[in-house]
Amino acid sequence: MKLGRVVGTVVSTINVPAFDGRTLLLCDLLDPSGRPAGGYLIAVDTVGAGAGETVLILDEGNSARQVLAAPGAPIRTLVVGIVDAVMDRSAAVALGEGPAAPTSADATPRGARPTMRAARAAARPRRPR
Amino acid sequence: MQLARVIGTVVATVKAPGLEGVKLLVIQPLDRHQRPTGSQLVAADAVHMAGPGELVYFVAAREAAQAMPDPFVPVDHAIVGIVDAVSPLAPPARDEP
Repeated sequence: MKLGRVVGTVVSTINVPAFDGRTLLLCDLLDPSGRPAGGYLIAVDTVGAGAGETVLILDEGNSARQVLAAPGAPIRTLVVGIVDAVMDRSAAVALGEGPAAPTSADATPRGARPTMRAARAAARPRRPR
Repeated sequence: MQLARVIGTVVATVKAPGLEGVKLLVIQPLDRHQRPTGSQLVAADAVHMAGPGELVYFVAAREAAQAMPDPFVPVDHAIVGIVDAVSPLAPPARDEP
């Protein structure tokens, strides 16, 4: 799956019947830090994503048709989630709707870091001695 | 799916079985600002109504053949819709660190 940001909608009245009643979102692709990675996709919305939101994009046909329960539809790209934050090894990167969203520094205040580190350590499988 | 501009038609009399009656169009893929990007392609017209000059969106790979009446045809790019409008949803100004 890919990260994207919704930057527009595509309006179309003449289309293949499988697209009737579906919302098409124009999404810029993002890298994990939230910067544009170059490129874009037109994706069918399944979650009600709106302008400027960071979304999870599924770009694989069989899964897309399964999600839509539309076997045989020529659809391959779906918006399947709205992203709140992406955690990398060092910090949470908040990927919200812009100014309202906290910056990465706000997302991981100093006090919160040890907690996150502890949580990650707890989640890490331990090797038997 | 991506945006493209139809820039021409392809006429072929000898085609693989299953492609009879399928309209083939030359398209120029566009970036999201509708500037040409990448190389031109031949795409099958699954909406039967696209013509030169029109802004369309197309699907690639296996899904292209799914758009055709017979889903087992040798087609790897298909036009699946004609674009009326692309409405930009301006993202709120973002403070870059």
